[in-house]
Amino acid sequence: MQLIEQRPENRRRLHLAMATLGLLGLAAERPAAADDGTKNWTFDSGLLYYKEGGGRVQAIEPVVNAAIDLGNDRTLTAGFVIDSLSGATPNGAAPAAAPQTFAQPSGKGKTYTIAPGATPLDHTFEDTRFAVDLGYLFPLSSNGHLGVGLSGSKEYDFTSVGANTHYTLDLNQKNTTLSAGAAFEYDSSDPVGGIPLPLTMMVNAVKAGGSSKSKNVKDILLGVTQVLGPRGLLQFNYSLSLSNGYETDPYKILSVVDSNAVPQYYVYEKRPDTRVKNALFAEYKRFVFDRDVVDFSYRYFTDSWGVRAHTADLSYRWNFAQRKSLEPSVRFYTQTAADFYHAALFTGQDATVDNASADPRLGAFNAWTGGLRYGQVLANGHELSVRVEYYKQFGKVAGVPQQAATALSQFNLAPDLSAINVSFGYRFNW
Amino acid sequence: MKLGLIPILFLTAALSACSSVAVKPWQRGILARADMQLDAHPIQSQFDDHIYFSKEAASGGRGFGGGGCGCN
Repeated sequence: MQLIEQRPENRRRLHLAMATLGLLGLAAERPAAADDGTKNWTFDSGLLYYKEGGGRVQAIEPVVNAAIDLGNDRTLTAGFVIDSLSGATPNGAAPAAAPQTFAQPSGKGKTYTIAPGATPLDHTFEDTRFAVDLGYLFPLSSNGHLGVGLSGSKEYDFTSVGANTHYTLDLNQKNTTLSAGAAFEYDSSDPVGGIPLPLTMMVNAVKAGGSSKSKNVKDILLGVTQVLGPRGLLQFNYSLSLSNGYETDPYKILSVVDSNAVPQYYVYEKRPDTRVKNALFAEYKRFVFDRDVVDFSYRYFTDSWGVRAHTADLSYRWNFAQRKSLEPSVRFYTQTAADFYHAALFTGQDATVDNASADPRLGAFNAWTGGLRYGQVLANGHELSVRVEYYKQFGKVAGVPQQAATALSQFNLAPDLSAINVSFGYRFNW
Repeated sequence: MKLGLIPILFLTAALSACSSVAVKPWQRGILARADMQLDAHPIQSQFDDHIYFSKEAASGGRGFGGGGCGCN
């Protein structure tokens, strides 16, 4: 359902990073044992456990990525992900002074009731996602490499297939690497209970919008990586994403309230059928004190929906022993609300707006992440790691209809969200 | 305003740190370290992307920025 987005782009990003680094002569990810000529396979595996506070979403996600060195600078990769989610997620309605009852998405007449003043959460959220990808990286010339890939994923109500390619070119004795990539993806959404008609009243979960909707996503990525002396690296990327089709979340609704903030009815949300996303990204990495590594990255994001976001990430890897490290990290994120974000609509407003969503992910908030990672290379060359992170969103109230602002101010319209995650990693050659 | 300064400060600091940009092949020992890769922990980056894409509106930059599910 809404949260199943271990997207193929993540895999593509990884492959592109591998290709870029390989060309820079930097891809020394394999332990020395890989040089004996017999261990051509690299397995990189991990397990994520994610849990939100307040009984909201939790997820368990095992991942295995395999790469085989085919010789002559050619690499074949394959990845597999299972993603199992359950818990409660906001349905988009605003809190109210009286109990609120909603139809479950299945449309089978089942309902759930929310206590007065509480954020309406749909507790029926549950899904499992399977994703696979394949990639092949090979040299086109002495300085250029081409990578091609395919990806696919399937969950109960969503199917995605994609293809991607990227080219990297080394210049200046491999001190500079230029990269360019493109990707295409086709997504099909088949929501539980069918597609609702957008901005129509939610009545007994009748959904007359058909059973399936789709969208296409086209991506472009341009990048340059520059070696800055023997101890430093700098990367700049620009990414452009054009998405066309069904962008709406079929499970999200909005409250339509009167001036006393009493919900009169609820409508299904509606988003524009195109979205253009732009991101500028920079990362700087430096070896310090002849022992440790500092990594800083920054991203500026803007899209055609009116969202602007800044992301800053800082980590310090302390190599306190020859094969052991501790890595604290901190991340700050802030976003503005989408133009069509509404905490609620005022009576009649649903007939005049082109688009409307109360999805908190399109609202305004700041977020902080703090993490600590422990890594160790074992005597057999295998690498293991464990990381714990705490994430917290601080909601900012936005999109409140003026006519009901006073009455709505008694409720928490932008609740905070906290989550903890623990992840394990294990990598070895075989 | 303050956030807008971050990339400028960052770039200035980074560029001023490189007195000799051109690195010869025999000077790549440190750059070849596993912990000096731009994405040193691919699996954990994959988990991060998953979490943040699920919970935030922004995506892309480090890699491709679009696509995915009907969720965001």
